[in-house]
Amino acid sequence: MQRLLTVATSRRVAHRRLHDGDRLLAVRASALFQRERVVYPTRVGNNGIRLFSSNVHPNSTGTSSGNYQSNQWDPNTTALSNIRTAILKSSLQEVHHHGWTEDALAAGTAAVKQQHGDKKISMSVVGLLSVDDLIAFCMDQWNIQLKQDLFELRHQKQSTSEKDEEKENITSNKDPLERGIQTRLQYLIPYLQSQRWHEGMALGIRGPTNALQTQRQLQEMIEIIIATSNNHPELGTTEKMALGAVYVATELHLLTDTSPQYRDTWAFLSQRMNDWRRLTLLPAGTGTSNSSSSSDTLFVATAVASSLAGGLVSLITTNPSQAFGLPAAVWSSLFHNPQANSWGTNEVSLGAIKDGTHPSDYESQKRGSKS
Amino acid sequence: MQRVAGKILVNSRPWRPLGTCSRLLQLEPPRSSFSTATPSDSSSNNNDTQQQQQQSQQQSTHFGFQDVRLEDKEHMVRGVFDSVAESYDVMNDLMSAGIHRVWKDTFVACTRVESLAKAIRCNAEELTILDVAGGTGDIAFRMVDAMGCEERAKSSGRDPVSVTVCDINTEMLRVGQRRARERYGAALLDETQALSFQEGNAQSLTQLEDNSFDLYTIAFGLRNVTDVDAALREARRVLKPGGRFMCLEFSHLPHPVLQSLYDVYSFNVIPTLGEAVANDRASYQYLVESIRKFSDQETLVKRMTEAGMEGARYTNLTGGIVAIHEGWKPLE
Repeated sequence: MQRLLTVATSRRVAHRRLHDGDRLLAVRASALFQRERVVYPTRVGNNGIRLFSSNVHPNSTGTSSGNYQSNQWDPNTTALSNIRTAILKSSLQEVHHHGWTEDALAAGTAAVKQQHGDKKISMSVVGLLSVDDLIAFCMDQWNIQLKQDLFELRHQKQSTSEKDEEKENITSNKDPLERGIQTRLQYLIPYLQSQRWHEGMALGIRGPTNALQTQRQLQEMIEIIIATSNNHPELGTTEKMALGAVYVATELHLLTDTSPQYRDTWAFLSQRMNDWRRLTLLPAGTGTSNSSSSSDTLFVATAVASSLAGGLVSLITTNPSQAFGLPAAVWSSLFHNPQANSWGTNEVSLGAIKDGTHPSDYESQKRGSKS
Repeated sequence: MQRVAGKILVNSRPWRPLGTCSRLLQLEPPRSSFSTATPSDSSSNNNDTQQQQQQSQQQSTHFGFQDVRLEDKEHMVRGVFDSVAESYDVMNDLMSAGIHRVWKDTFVACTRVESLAKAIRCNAEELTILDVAGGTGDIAFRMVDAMGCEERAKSSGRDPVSVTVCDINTEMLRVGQRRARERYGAALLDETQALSFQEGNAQSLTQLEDNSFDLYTIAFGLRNVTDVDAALREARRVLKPGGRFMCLEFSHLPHPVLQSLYDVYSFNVIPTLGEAVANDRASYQYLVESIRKFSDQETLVKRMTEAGMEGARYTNLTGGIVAIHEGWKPLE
């Protein structure tokens, strides 16, 4: 009886509070074991949502895993918290080689130790961090960088003379919202080139906690893009959601884009932004909404479906085998090894998913691309 | 059921059979009987009555549901494990339906020794692990396997990764060493020195230097230590700055109904199993009682923090029947 009650409880909780250190075992045994974890507190807003990135110090870790409960330890005030941030930054460099894995965190820790030249610091300090923290930190950093980059772009544009502005409009006549999305997507390119971003995407939606965190971070990103656009458009929730769908669709397209300088993706983004403007009745380049009251479900469904369908269609037409491999890879990443699965550029099948953690996993892709 | 970490005493005193399930339902242990006095307890109070109370507290501790003299507990616990040593593994499997293996696997996975060992070997660093109360090698063998020490032993030279098993009980250490040789041959113990066994007291690891270990593990041993707080302080001492303390131990179910069901099982089934399989009801009665007398999750977190560990936290397994506690030694 006790075991049955435990099973019932564990099924509700197992995926909600999964510890990073026992992924494989916990998945295997999640039907039996309830895992409940006390974790560090983090700064949260009054509504329980983590503070908008503009309020977060660039050095803060923005950790996001688990449910936050009261705890006497404040990770933002100790020496350990400083090294956490350093490890996360260093580990992001290791992701290209090790994937979004604990190996990357360990390698990042070793690099920090070498940088500090302090042999006395234990490698076990890496236990403070999880891969969920790593992806959340990465997206937080990107939001901070996006805000800085877009403010700089805006400042540069305002400081140019009328003549220069006219010239700039000729060479770069882009909607500020579109430019913001493109700027943000460009941050992914190093991870796309190392074929690690699909792992990051899978990790970002693994389990409700990560999915909610990712949704909040994407929401923050949209707010940053809107806030740093020239005209500060007053967009409603539905328009923002549709803009987020444009971003997600373009990110899906970007995953499979092999065109030079990712031109296909930027063209795809322009098309989706035109669709978005048509649906929201915005004239191109103005960013001013004429439909602030449009909040009906049909509108949201149309805008989101239009964008996402565009992304999926693009994925299929660009590389059908890769497109059909997407669900398998993401599924595998989500439920088996969230860090390491990959689908190749030229070959993917349900039965041939590689763990993506060894150079040999990509040899066939290299051979394929050469041929 | 579990291992012991206390001081070795040559002579074991006999001890009488312990309480019953009904005692558990009636009695909640007085807090004072849980721990020995700290230095601050006796430094600033001149009141005779209070001094007497403090002396009484200093001299008594729990042994199952019994209050016993402090100096008696260690050899009483030793007597238990001498008694159960032969049937230790069989009883563990029977009592937990094999789940203790999954708990231990989960515990080792949480240590992340596998990824740490990879990084260590790539960067010419060292990883030193101390497994306290790990006599029979259950945890150490899992870590050695996870870190690929056996494969590394095919190369010459000393392995930069090492696990030191420390236990108070020489009999348990002997069993562990024998198993290690059967499992790995002489390579790990003699050549790469990735695995070693040491006799030692968790409360006073005098043979070990300060700041010498990256990871301190203790699985199903902490509750048998006479002075838990001293053991925690000692763990902090031997850990390097940023080193990690990890404890796998029986704990308390947060839900009272589940706890009652668990009590019924453990106070009726486990001693009966002990009697039937090992012909030793009293030892298994003690093991069950010692679980109830040990700190709950939050209390142990507090004690870890008081011992100077940072970031103390816990993870419940199987709803809280056992819990993994972890904390870090602050950076200096």
